[in-house]
Amino acid sequence: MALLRREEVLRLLNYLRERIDNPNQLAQIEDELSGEFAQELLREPEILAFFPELTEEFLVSTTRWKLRVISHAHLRMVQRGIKLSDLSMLFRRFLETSAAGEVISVGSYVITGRPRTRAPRMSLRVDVDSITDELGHSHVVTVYLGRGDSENMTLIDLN
Amino acid sequence: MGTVLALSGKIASGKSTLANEFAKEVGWPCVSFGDYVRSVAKHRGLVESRETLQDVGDELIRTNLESFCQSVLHQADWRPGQSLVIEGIRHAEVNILLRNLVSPSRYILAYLKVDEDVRKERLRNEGIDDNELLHVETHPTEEQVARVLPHLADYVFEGSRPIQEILDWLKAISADIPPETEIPIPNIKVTEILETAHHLSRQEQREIIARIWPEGASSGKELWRGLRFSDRMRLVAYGPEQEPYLPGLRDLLLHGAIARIEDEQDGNYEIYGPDRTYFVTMTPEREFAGLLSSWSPDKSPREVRLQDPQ
Repeated sequence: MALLRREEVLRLLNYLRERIDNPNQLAQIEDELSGEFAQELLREPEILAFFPELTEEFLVSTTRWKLRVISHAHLRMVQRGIKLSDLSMLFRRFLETSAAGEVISVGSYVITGRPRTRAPRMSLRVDVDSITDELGHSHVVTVYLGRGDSENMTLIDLN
Repeated sequence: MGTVLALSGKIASGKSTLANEFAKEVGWPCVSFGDYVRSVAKHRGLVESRETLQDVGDELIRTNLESFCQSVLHQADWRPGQSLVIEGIRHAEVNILLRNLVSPSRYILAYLKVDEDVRKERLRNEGIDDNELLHVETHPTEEQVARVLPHLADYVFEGSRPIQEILDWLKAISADIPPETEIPIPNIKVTEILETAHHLSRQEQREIIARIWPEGASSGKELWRGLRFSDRMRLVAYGPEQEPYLPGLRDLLLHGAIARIEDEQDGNYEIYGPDRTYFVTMTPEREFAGLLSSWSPDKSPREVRLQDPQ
Protein backbone atom coordinates (compact mmCIF):
# COMPACT_ATOMS: atom_id res chain seq x y z
CA MET A 1 0.00 0.00 0.00
CA ALA A 2 1.39 3.40 -0.91
CA LEU A 3 -0.28 6.73 -1.46
CA LEU A 4 0.69 9.32 -4.02
CA ARG A 5 1.20 12.98 -3.16
CA ARG A 6 -1.68 15.25 -4.13
CA GLU A 7 0.34 17.11 -6.76
CA GLU A 8 1.40 13.81 -8.31
CA VAL A 9 -2.23 12.69 -8.60
CA LEU A 10 -3.16 16.01 -10.22
CA ARG A 11 -0.33 15.83 -12.76
CA LEU A 12 -1.25 12.29 -13.74
CA LEU A 13 -4.95 13.12 -14.01
CA ASN A 14 -4.29 16.19 -16.14
CA TYR A 15 -2.28 14.03 -18.49
CA LEU A 16 -4.81 11.19 -18.58
CA ARG A 17 -7.82 13.49 -19.15
CA GLU A 18 -6.41 14.34 -22.57
CA ARG A 19 -6.10 10.68 -23.49
CA ILE A 20 -9.11 8.93 -22.01
CA ASP A 21 -12.52 9.71 -23.52
CA ASN A 22 -14.55 7.34 -21.39
CA PRO A 23 -15.65 9.30 -18.26
CA ASN A 24 -16.34 6.12 -16.29
CA GLN A 25 -12.87 4.79 -16.95
CA LEU A 26 -11.34 8.12 -16.01
CA ALA A 27 -13.35 8.28 -12.78
CA GLN A 28 -12.23 4.80 -11.85
CA ILE A 29 -8.58 5.65 -12.44
CA GLU A 30 -8.98 8.86 -10.46
CA ASP A 31 -10.33 6.84 -7.54
CA GLU A 32 -7.48 4.39 -7.73
CA LEU A 33 -4.83 7.10 -8.03
CA SER A 34 -6.18 8.73 -4.89
CA GLY A 35 -6.37 5.43 -3.03
CA GLU A 36 -3.94 3.44 -0.98
CA PHE A 37 -2.94 1.17 -3.87
CA ALA A 38 -1.92 4.00 -6.20
CA GLN A 39 1.73 2.94 -6.39
CA GLU A 40 0.64 -0.55 -7.36
CA LEU A 41 -1.57 0.87 -10.11
CA LEU A 42 1.34 2.80 -11.61
CA ARG A 43 3.16 -0.47 -12.38
CA GLU A 44 0.27 -2.11 -14.18
CA PRO A 45 0.59 -2.66 -17.94
CA GLU A 46 -2.96 -1.26 -18.44
CA ILE A 47 -1.99 2.12 -17.04
CA LEU A 48 1.45 2.08 -18.67
CA ALA A 49 -0.33 1.72 -22.02
CA PHE A 50 -1.39 5.38 -21.69
CA PHE A 51 2.27 6.41 -21.46
CA PRO A 52 3.83 5.36 -24.75
CA GLU A 53 7.55 5.12 -25.20
CA LEU A 54 9.07 8.50 -26.07
CA THR A 55 11.98 9.01 -28.39
CA GLU A 56 14.16 11.97 -29.14
CA GLU A 57 17.03 12.18 -31.58
CA PHE A 58 19.80 14.72 -31.72
CA LEU A 59 23.32 15.20 -32.99
CA VAL A 60 26.31 15.93 -30.81
CA SER A 61 29.41 16.54 -32.84
CA THR A 62 29.28 13.78 -35.47
CA THR A 63 27.38 11.29 -33.34
CA ARG A 64 23.64 10.76 -33.63
CA TRP A 65 21.92 9.90 -30.35
CA LYS A 66 18.50 8.36 -30.02
CA LEU A 67 16.99 8.59 -26.57
CA ARG A 68 14.37 5.95 -25.86
CA VAL A 69 12.31 6.74 -22.76
CA ILE A 70 10.42 3.58 -21.77
CA SER A 71 6.74 3.73 -20.73
CA HIS A 72 7.51 3.38 -17.05
CA ALA A 73 9.96 6.30 -17.16
CA HIS A 74 7.44 8.36 -19.16
CA LEU A 75 4.87 7.80 -16.43
CA ARG A 76 7.34 8.80 -13.72
CA MET A 77 8.20 11.95 -15.68
CA VAL A 78 4.53 12.95 -15.77
CA GLN A 79 4.12 12.06 -12.10
CA ARG A 80 7.06 14.23 -11.08
CA GLY A 81 6.47 17.01 -13.57
CA ILE A 82 9.68 16.41 -15.51
CA LYS A 83 9.73 17.53 -19.14
CA LEU A 84 11.32 15.53 -21.94
CA SER A 85 13.39 18.61 -22.78
CA ASP A 86 14.89 18.60 -19.25
CA LEU A 87 15.70 14.94 -19.45
CA SER A 88 17.27 15.41 -22.84
CA MET A 89 19.20 18.44 -21.60
CA LEU A 90 20.67 16.53 -18.68
CA PHE A 91 21.79 13.78 -21.02
CA ARG A 92 23.39 16.31 -23.37
CA ARG A 93 25.23 17.86 -20.44
CA PHE A 94 26.51 14.38 -19.62
CA LEU A 95 27.79 13.99 -23.19
CA GLU A 96 29.50 17.37 -23.06
CA THR A 97 31.10 16.56 -19.71
CA SER A 98 32.33 13.24 -21.05
CA ALA A 99 34.36 15.08 -23.68
CA ALA A 100 32.31 16.31 -26.59
CA GLY A 101 32.38 14.05 -29.57
CA GLU A 102 33.97 11.14 -27.77
CA VAL A 103 32.05 7.91 -28.24
CA ILE A 104 30.54 6.77 -24.97
CA SER A 105 30.99 3.04 -24.56
CA VAL A 106 28.06 0.65 -24.46
CA GLY A 107 26.93 0.04 -20.88
CA SER A 108 24.94 1.52 -18.00
CA TYR A 109 25.33 4.95 -16.43
CA VAL A 110 23.75 6.81 -13.54
CA ILE A 111 23.78 10.52 -14.27
CA THR A 112 22.99 13.01 -11.52
CA GLY A 113 22.73 16.74 -11.91
CA ARG A 114 20.55 19.74 -12.74
CA PRO A 115 19.43 20.10 -16.36
CA ARG A 116 19.22 23.88 -16.00
CA THR A 117 20.25 26.48 -13.44
CA ARG A 118 18.01 26.28 -10.37
CA ALA A 119 16.14 23.28 -11.79
CA PRO A 120 15.69 20.47 -9.25
CA ARG A 121 18.46 17.92 -9.15
CA MET A 122 17.50 14.65 -10.80
CA SER A 123 19.09 11.39 -11.67
CA LEU A 124 18.85 9.37 -14.84
CA ARG A 125 19.73 5.78 -15.34
CA VAL A 126 20.61 5.11 -18.92
CA ASP A 127 21.62 2.03 -20.86
CA VAL A 128 23.66 2.81 -23.94
CA ASP A 129 22.33 -0.16 -25.83
CA SER A 130 23.89 -0.33 -29.22
CA ILE A 131 25.89 1.37 -31.86
CA THR A 132 23.55 1.15 -34.79
CA ASP A 133 25.35 2.29 -37.91
CA GLU A 134 28.31 0.79 -39.65
CA LEU A 135 30.51 3.75 -38.77
CA GLY A 136 29.68 3.40 -35.08
CA HIS A 137 28.40 6.94 -34.99
CA SER A 138 24.93 6.37 -33.63
CA HIS A 139 23.76 5.27 -30.18
CA VAL A 140 20.42 4.10 -28.86
CA VAL A 141 20.04 5.04 -25.22
CA THR A 142 17.30 3.59 -23.03
CA VAL A 143 16.31 5.89 -20.21
CA TYR A 144 14.88 5.03 -16.81
CA LEU A 145 14.29 7.48 -14.04
CA GLY A 146 16.50 6.87 -11.06
CA ARG A 147 16.38 8.37 -7.63
CA GLY A 148 15.06 11.87 -7.33
CA ASP A 149 17.67 13.05 -4.89
CA SER A 150 21.02 11.39 -4.66
CA GLU A 151 22.63 13.98 -2.39
CA ASN A 152 22.56 11.61 0.54
CA MET A 153 23.62 8.54 -1.29
CA THR A 154 26.84 6.71 -0.67
CA LEU A 155 27.64 3.67 -2.70
CA ILE A 156 28.86 0.59 -0.94
CA ASP A 157 31.05 -1.41 -3.23
CA LEU A 158 30.83 -5.09 -2.39
CA ASN A 159 33.56 -5.82 -4.87
CA MET B 1 6.81 -31.42 -8.87
CA GLY B 2 9.07 -33.23 -6.41
CA THR B 3 10.64 -31.92 -3.23
CA VAL B 4 14.26 -32.28 -2.23
CA LEU B 5 14.68 -32.23 1.51
CA ALA B 6 18.24 -31.49 2.58
CA LEU B 7 19.24 -32.02 6.19
CA SER B 8 22.02 -30.32 8.06
CA GLY B 9 23.17 -30.34 11.66
CA LYS B 10 26.19 -30.78 13.87
CA ILE B 11 27.85 -34.14 14.49
CA ALA B 12 25.55 -36.45 16.47
CA SER B 13 22.51 -34.28 15.95
CA GLY B 14 20.67 -37.34 14.64
CA LYS B 15 20.37 -36.22 11.03
CA SER B 16 21.38 -39.57 9.49
CA THR B 17 18.83 -41.50 11.53
CA LEU B 18 16.17 -38.93 10.77
CA ALA B 19 16.99 -38.85 7.03
CA ASN B 20 16.77 -42.64 6.72
CA GLU B 21 13.57 -42.87 8.77
CA PHE B 22 11.94 -40.08 6.83
CA ALA B 23 12.96 -41.55 3.46
CA LYS B 24 11.55 -44.94 4.50
CA GLU B 25 8.25 -43.44 5.61
CA VAL B 26 7.65 -41.35 2.50
CA GLY B 27 9.29 -43.79 0.07
CA TRP B 28 11.84 -41.30 -1.29
CA PRO B 29 15.43 -42.23 -2.16
CA CYS B 30 18.04 -40.99 0.30
CA VAL B 31 21.63 -39.94 -0.40
CA SER B 32 24.32 -38.88 2.02
CA PHE B 33 27.39 -36.69 1.68
CA GLY B 34 29.00 -38.68 4.49
CA ASP B 35 28.38 -42.00 2.76
CA TYR B 36 29.83 -40.73 -0.50
CA VAL B 37 32.96 -39.35 1.20
CA ARG B 38 33.31 -42.67 3.05
CA SER B 39 33.20 -44.55 -0.28
CA VAL B 40 35.86 -42.26 -1.77
CA ALA B 41 38.11 -42.79 1.28
CA LYS B 42 37.62 -46.56 1.04
CA HIS B 43 38.39 -46.52 -2.67
CA ARG B 44 41.65 -44.69 -1.90
CA GLY B 45 42.52 -47.24 0.76
CA LEU B 46 42.45 -44.71 3.59
CA VAL B 47 41.76 -45.53 7.22
CA GLU B 48 38.22 -44.54 8.08
CA SER B 49 38.36 -41.95 10.85
CA ARG B 50 36.39 -38.73 11.28
CA GLU B 51 39.51 -36.70 10.60
CA THR B 52 40.35 -38.58 7.38
CA LEU B 53 36.78 -38.27 6.16
CA GLN B 54 36.80 -34.55 6.95
CA ASP B 55 40.02 -34.09 4.98
CA VAL B 56 38.67 -36.01 1.99
CA GLY B 57 35.39 -34.05 2.12
CA ASP B 58 37.28 -30.77 2.32
CA GLU B 59 39.40 -31.72 -0.70
CA LEU B 60 36.34 -32.71 -2.75
CA ILE B 61 34.69 -29.37 -1.92
CA ARG B 62 37.77 -27.39 -2.92
CA THR B 63 38.75 -29.26 -6.07
CA ASN B 64 35.49 -29.91 -7.90
CA LEU B 65 32.39 -28.84 -6.06
CA GLU B 66 29.89 -29.53 -8.83
CA SER B 67 31.25 -32.97 -9.63
CA PHE B 68 31.18 -33.79 -5.90
CA CYS B 69 27.53 -32.76 -5.57
CA GLN B 70 26.54 -34.59 -8.76
CA SER B 71 28.25 -37.76 -7.49
CA VAL B 72 26.33 -37.54 -4.21
CA LEU B 73 23.05 -37.13 -6.12
CA HIS B 74 23.92 -40.11 -8.31
CA GLN B 75 24.07 -42.39 -5.28
CA ALA B 76 20.36 -42.81 -5.87
CA ASP B 77 18.49 -43.45 -9.09
CA TRP B 78 17.15 -39.92 -9.05
CA ARG B 79 16.25 -37.41 -11.79
CA PRO B 80 15.65 -33.63 -11.48
CA GLY B 81 12.00 -33.03 -10.70
CA GLN B 82 11.73 -36.08 -8.45
CA SER B 83 11.73 -36.13 -4.64
CA LEU B 84 14.85 -36.94 -2.66
CA VAL B 85 16.35 -36.74 0.82
CA ILE B 86 19.94 -35.44 1.07
CA GLU B 87 21.72 -35.84 4.35
CA GLY B 88 24.80 -34.01 5.62
CA ILE B 89 24.90 -30.50 4.12
CA ARG B 90 27.95 -28.83 5.65
CA HIS B 91 28.75 -25.88 3.36
CA ALA B 92 26.89 -22.81 2.16
CA GLU B 93 28.31 -23.26 -1.32
CA VAL B 94 26.96 -26.82 -1.48
CA ASN B 95 23.56 -25.55 -0.44
CA ILE B 96 23.60 -22.88 -3.13
CA LEU B 97 24.69 -25.31 -5.83
CA LEU B 98 22.20 -28.00 -4.84
CA ARG B 99 19.31 -25.57 -5.13
CA ASN B 100 20.23 -25.15 -8.78
CA LEU B 101 21.16 -28.76 -9.48
CA VAL B 102 17.88 -30.19 -8.23
CA SER B 103 15.72 -27.69 -10.06
CA PRO B 104 12.82 -27.95 -10.96
CA SER B 105 12.33 -29.89 -7.73
CA ARG B 106 11.55 -27.70 -4.75
CA TYR B 107 14.56 -27.50 -2.42
CA ILE B 108 14.22 -27.22 1.35
CA LEU B 109 17.10 -27.04 3.78
CA ALA B 110 16.13 -28.18 7.28
CA TYR B 111 18.58 -27.77 10.13
CA LEU B 112 18.52 -30.06 13.12
CA LYS B 113 19.43 -28.24 16.33
CA VAL B 114 20.19 -30.38 19.33
CA ASP B 115 20.98 -29.39 22.89
CA GLU B 116 24.76 -29.56 23.46
CA ASP B 117 24.47 -31.85 26.48
CA VAL B 118 22.32 -34.32 24.56
CA ARG B 119 24.78 -34.32 21.70
CA LYS B 120 27.81 -34.84 23.94
CA GLU B 121 26.04 -37.67 25.70
CA ARG B 122 25.39 -39.36 22.36
CA LEU B 123 29.04 -38.96 21.38
CA ARG B 124 30.30 -40.31 24.70
CA ASN B 125 28.21 -43.40 24.03
CA GLU B 126 30.12 -43.71 20.74
CA GLY B 127 33.40 -43.38 22.61
CA ILE B 128 34.18 -39.78 21.63
CA ASP B 129 35.14 -37.50 24.51
CA ASP B 130 34.81 -33.70 24.74
CA ASN B 131 38.42 -33.03 23.70
CA GLU B 132 38.10 -35.15 20.59
CA LEU B 133 34.79 -33.49 19.77
CA LEU B 134 36.40 -30.06 20.02
CA HIS B 135 39.13 -31.21 17.66
CA VAL B 136 36.65 -32.62 15.15
CA GLU B 137 34.37 -29.58 15.24
CA THR B 138 37.10 -27.04 14.62
CA HIS B 139 37.89 -28.70 11.28
CA PRO B 140 36.95 -26.33 8.41
CA THR B 141 34.38 -28.88 7.20
CA GLU B 142 32.33 -28.45 10.37
CA GLU B 143 32.82 -24.71 10.85
CA GLN B 144 29.96 -23.61 8.63
CA VAL B 145 27.63 -26.20 10.07
CA ALA B 146 27.56 -24.30 13.34
CA ARG B 147 27.98 -20.73 12.18
CA VAL B 148 26.38 -20.33 8.76
CA LEU B 149 23.96 -23.12 7.88
CA PRO B 150 21.41 -22.47 10.67
CA HIS B 151 20.92 -19.04 9.11
CA LEU B 152 20.57 -20.41 5.59
CA ALA B 153 18.07 -23.08 6.58
CA ASP B 154 14.48 -22.76 5.50
CA TYR B 155 13.52 -24.45 8.75
CA VAL B 156 15.41 -24.97 11.99
CA PHE B 157 13.90 -27.53 14.30
CA GLU B 158 14.55 -28.91 17.73
CA GLY B 159 16.26 -32.26 17.32
CA SER B 160 15.72 -33.36 20.92
CA ARG B 161 12.00 -33.85 20.28
CA PRO B 162 10.66 -37.40 19.79
CA ILE B 163 11.61 -38.67 16.34
CA GLN B 164 8.01 -39.34 15.28
CA GLU B 165 7.12 -35.74 16.05
CA ILE B 166 9.99 -34.49 13.86
CA LEU B 167 9.08 -36.92 11.10
CA ASP B 168 5.47 -35.69 11.08
CA TRP B 169 6.68 -32.14 10.97
CA LEU B 170 9.05 -32.87 8.07
CA LYS B 171 6.24 -34.57 6.19
CA ALA B 172 4.09 -31.49 6.63
CA ILE B 173 6.66 -29.02 5.34
CA SER B 174 7.63 -31.30 2.46
CA ALA B 175 4.04 -31.59 1.36
CA ASP B 176 3.11 -27.94 1.49
CA ILE B 177 5.51 -25.13 2.34
CA PRO B 178 3.72 -22.02 3.44
CA PRO B 179 4.78 -19.16 1.13
CA GLU B 180 7.36 -16.97 2.74
CA THR B 181 7.47 -13.33 1.82
CA GLU B 182 9.99 -12.10 4.31
CA ILE B 183 13.29 -13.51 5.43
CA PRO B 184 13.31 -14.33 9.14
CA ILE B 185 15.53 -12.04 11.17
CA PRO B 186 17.72 -14.13 13.42
CA ASN B 187 19.73 -12.41 16.09
CA ILE B 188 23.20 -12.93 14.67
CA LYS B 189 26.40 -11.06 13.95
CA VAL B 190 26.73 -10.42 10.22
CA THR B 191 30.46 -9.87 10.50
CA GLU B 192 30.89 -13.25 12.13
CA ILE B 193 29.02 -14.96 9.33
CA LEU B 194 31.08 -13.20 6.67
CA GLU B 195 34.27 -14.08 8.45
CA THR B 196 33.26 -17.73 8.36
CA ALA B 197 32.29 -17.47 4.71
CA HIS B 198 35.39 -15.51 3.70
CA HIS B 199 36.52 -18.19 1.26
CA LEU B 200 33.29 -17.96 -0.72
CA SER B 201 32.86 -15.91 -3.85
CA ARG B 202 31.25 -12.47 -3.59
CA GLN B 203 28.14 -13.88 -5.20
CA GLU B 204 27.91 -16.67 -2.68
CA GLN B 205 28.47 -14.24 0.16
CA ARG B 206 25.71 -12.06 -1.21
CA GLU B 207 23.33 -14.98 -1.15
CA ILE B 208 24.23 -15.64 2.44
CA ILE B 209 23.80 -12.00 3.38
CA ALA B 210 20.47 -11.97 1.60
CA ARG B 211 19.20 -14.66 3.88
CA ILE B 212 20.41 -13.12 7.11
CA TRP B 213 20.42 -9.39 6.71
CA PRO B 214 17.75 -7.74 8.82
CA GLU B 215 14.96 -6.15 6.88
CA GLY B 216 15.75 -2.52 6.24
CA ALA B 217 19.21 -2.66 7.76
CA SER B 218 21.31 0.35 6.99
CA SER B 219 25.01 0.56 6.44
CA GLY B 220 26.29 4.11 6.32
CA LYS B 221 23.69 5.97 4.33
CA GLU B 222 22.62 2.94 2.33
CA LEU B 223 19.56 0.90 2.95
CA TRP B 224 19.85 -2.79 2.27
CA ARG B 225 17.17 -5.35 2.38
CA GLY B 226 16.87 -9.11 2.20
CA LEU B 227 14.19 -9.92 -0.33
CA ARG B 228 12.17 -12.99 -0.87
CA PHE B 229 8.95 -13.34 -2.82
CA SER B 230 6.33 -16.03 -2.68
CA ASP B 231 5.86 -18.17 -5.79
CA ARG B 232 2.64 -16.26 -6.46
CA MET B 233 4.58 -13.16 -7.48
CA ARG B 234 4.04 -11.44 -10.80
CA LEU B 235 7.13 -10.50 -12.72
CA VAL B 236 7.26 -8.49 -15.94
CA ALA B 237 9.97 -6.98 -18.12
CA TYR B 238 9.39 -3.34 -19.06
CA GLY B 239 11.34 -3.78 -22.28
CA PRO B 240 11.70 -6.73 -24.69
CA GLU B 241 15.49 -6.73 -24.28
CA GLN B 242 15.08 -7.62 -20.59
CA GLU B 243 12.76 -10.59 -21.11
CA PRO B 244 15.58 -13.18 -21.34
CA TYR B 245 16.63 -12.21 -17.81
CA LEU B 246 13.24 -12.79 -16.15
CA PRO B 247 13.85 -16.48 -15.24
CA GLY B 248 17.09 -15.56 -13.44
CA LEU B 249 15.37 -12.78 -11.51
CA ARG B 250 12.43 -15.04 -10.64
CA ASP B 251 14.80 -17.66 -9.29
CA LEU B 252 16.60 -15.07 -7.22
CA LEU B 253 13.44 -13.59 -5.73
CA LEU B 254 12.12 -17.02 -4.81
CA HIS B 255 15.30 -18.16 -3.11
CA GLY B 256 16.35 -14.92 -1.47
CA ALA B 257 18.46 -12.02 -2.60
CA ILE B 258 20.04 -8.93 -1.25
CA ALA B 259 18.88 -5.62 -2.59
CA ARG B 260 19.90 -2.00 -2.26
CA ILE B 261 17.03 0.41 -1.98
CA GLU B 262 17.42 3.19 -4.47
CA ASP B 263 14.12 4.98 -4.08
CA GLU B 264 11.69 3.67 -1.53
CA GLN B 265 8.81 5.85 -2.75
CA ASP B 266 9.12 4.55 -6.32
CA GLY B 267 10.00 1.05 -5.14
CA ASN B 268 13.26 1.04 -7.09
CA TYR B 269 15.80 -1.57 -6.04
CA GLU B 270 19.05 -3.02 -7.27
CA ILE B 271 18.94 -6.76 -6.69
CA TYR B 272 22.21 -8.67 -6.65
CA GLY B 273 22.35 -12.11 -8.23
CA PRO B 274 25.32 -14.37 -8.84
CA ASP B 275 25.55 -13.58 -12.55
CA ARG B 276 23.53 -10.43 -12.94
CA THR B 277 22.36 -7.32 -11.12
CA TYR B 278 18.75 -6.33 -11.71
CA PHE B 279 17.25 -2.85 -11.50
CA VAL B 280 13.58 -3.32 -10.68
CA THR B 281 10.55 -1.47 -9.45
CA MET B 282 8.43 -3.41 -7.01
CA THR B 283 5.33 -2.99 -4.94
CA PRO B 284 5.65 -2.59 -1.18
CA GLU B 285 3.69 -5.80 -0.65
CA ARG B 286 6.26 -7.71 -2.76
CA GLU B 287 3.81 -9.44 -5.00
CA PHE B 288 4.89 -7.65 -8.18
CA ALA B 289 8.22 -6.66 -9.69
CA GLY B 290 8.92 -4.91 -12.99
CA LEU B 291 12.38 -5.43 -14.48
CA LEU B 292 13.74 -2.16 -15.86
CA SER B 293 17.37 -2.94 -16.58
CA SER B 294 20.08 -5.44 -15.73
CA TRP B 295 23.81 -5.91 -16.15
CA SER B 296 26.60 -8.33 -15.32
CA PRO B 297 28.35 -7.54 -12.00
CA ASP B 298 31.61 -6.64 -13.71
CA LYS B 299 29.82 -3.97 -15.76
CA SER B 300 28.07 -1.99 -13.05
CA PRO B 301 26.70 1.41 -14.05
CA ARG B 302 29.20 4.23 -14.02
CA GLU B 303 28.16 7.00 -11.67
CA VAL B 304 28.49 10.46 -13.17
CA ARG B 305 27.79 13.53 -11.08
CA LEU B 306 27.46 16.70 -13.15
CA GLN B 307 28.43 20.11 -11.86
CA ASP B 308 25.62 22.64 -11.63
CA PRO B 309 25.21 24.67 -14.84
CA GLN B 310 26.49 28.24 -14.71
